[in-house]
Amino acid sequence: MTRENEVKLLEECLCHDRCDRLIQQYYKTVSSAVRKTFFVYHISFTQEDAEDLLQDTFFRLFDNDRRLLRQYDPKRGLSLTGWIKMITVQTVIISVRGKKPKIVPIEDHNIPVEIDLDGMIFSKEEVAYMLEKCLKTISYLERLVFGLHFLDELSLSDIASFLHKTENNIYQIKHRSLSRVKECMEKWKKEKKE
Amino acid sequence: MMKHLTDNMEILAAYIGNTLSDDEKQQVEEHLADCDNCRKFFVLTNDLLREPELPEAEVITEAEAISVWNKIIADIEGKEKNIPTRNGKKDSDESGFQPKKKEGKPPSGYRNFIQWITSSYSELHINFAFAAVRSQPVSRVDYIHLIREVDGLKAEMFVEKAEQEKINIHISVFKGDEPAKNVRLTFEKQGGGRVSRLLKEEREAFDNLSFGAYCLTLKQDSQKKGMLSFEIDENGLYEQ
Repeated sequence: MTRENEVKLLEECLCHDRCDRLIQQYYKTVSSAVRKTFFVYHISFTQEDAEDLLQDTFFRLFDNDRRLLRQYDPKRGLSLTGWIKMITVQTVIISVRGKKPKIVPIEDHNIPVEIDLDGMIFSKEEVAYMLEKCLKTISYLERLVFGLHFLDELSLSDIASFLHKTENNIYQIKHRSLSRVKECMEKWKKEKKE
Repeated sequence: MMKHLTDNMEILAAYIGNTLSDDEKQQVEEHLADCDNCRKFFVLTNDLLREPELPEAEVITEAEAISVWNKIIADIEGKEKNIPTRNGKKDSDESGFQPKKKEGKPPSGYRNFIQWITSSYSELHINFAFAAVRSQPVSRVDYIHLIREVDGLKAEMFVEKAEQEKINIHISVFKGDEPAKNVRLTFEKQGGGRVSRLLKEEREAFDNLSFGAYCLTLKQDSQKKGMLSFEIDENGLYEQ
């Protein structure tokens, strides 16, 4: 959708009370975003849940004199479609707060209870604790890239795109973060050995 | 400490749109580095934004959209009147409940009626450049925004309700995407009063006009292009 068409749709809704056209345009976009959000947050849902959240999203957009729609500002660099997708994700997150994600049976997990690091056995809790401590010793950017790559499983090119940096830059940050974390973990293993 | 991005959509939108200052970007990144929930939200949002937009054929029908719109209006009106409507609560009596519409039937003699819209000053400042031209910012303002095509020109009017039955009207005129040149704007009030100005900057302001019936004439290069006749009162704007 072009910027011009977005402005027209927005104006029809905000100034002339013709919001049905905006609904018509974005109904399926919001529906798809609702489903994807449920999926990413591992929340099982029914068709009715999805439809409820779809309605909730439009309700929030139009409630209180269309406050959330009026907050949209193209000068921030995001399209209207992007803004509505963001509101959709936020709506689903608010609704699922407190809900437990799908429980995967323990047999289906592939996480060992104990981890062998060069002949030394540690519990996974110990390793997780030390990893968290080591992450705190590196810079915020190194920690962010580490998290996005190793925990959120994003590719380096995706990370570069999301953080508005070059791929080369992200590669260097990732390389640096990994060697510093490794160094920290080695130090910890040595201390444990002693 | 920075608010969670899940509660700070404007900052997140600006970060994704790459319009933040370097300091602000750093604040966002520092937060993302240490907040798993916000990082997850950030990744999902970026992911969704990358998805190709649904093609034209994927929009729903107008009738379906109007049905959804009416349900939402009914919910909003029900919320304001404290009537439970949906989501597991008692349903409203749909047969008896008529959602209140903002645009009423225009009285005879008028082809269109537009009610005042109330908004906060900061929202107007963001959305409409007109609102930046003010002497005294107020927290809430009633306004009407109007766009009309006049013989190849686009006239954009921002009417703001001032105090004591007065209005401020800011007008811009465009040819295509560019401000139109050599345009004269003349306001004539029914019962007397006339003010005429050449549009010099991007917009022209006519402040402290009283409620009443007006005729706005647009001329370009001394040639009359068109006229807009309307009446403004406490309820809104009536177009003739």
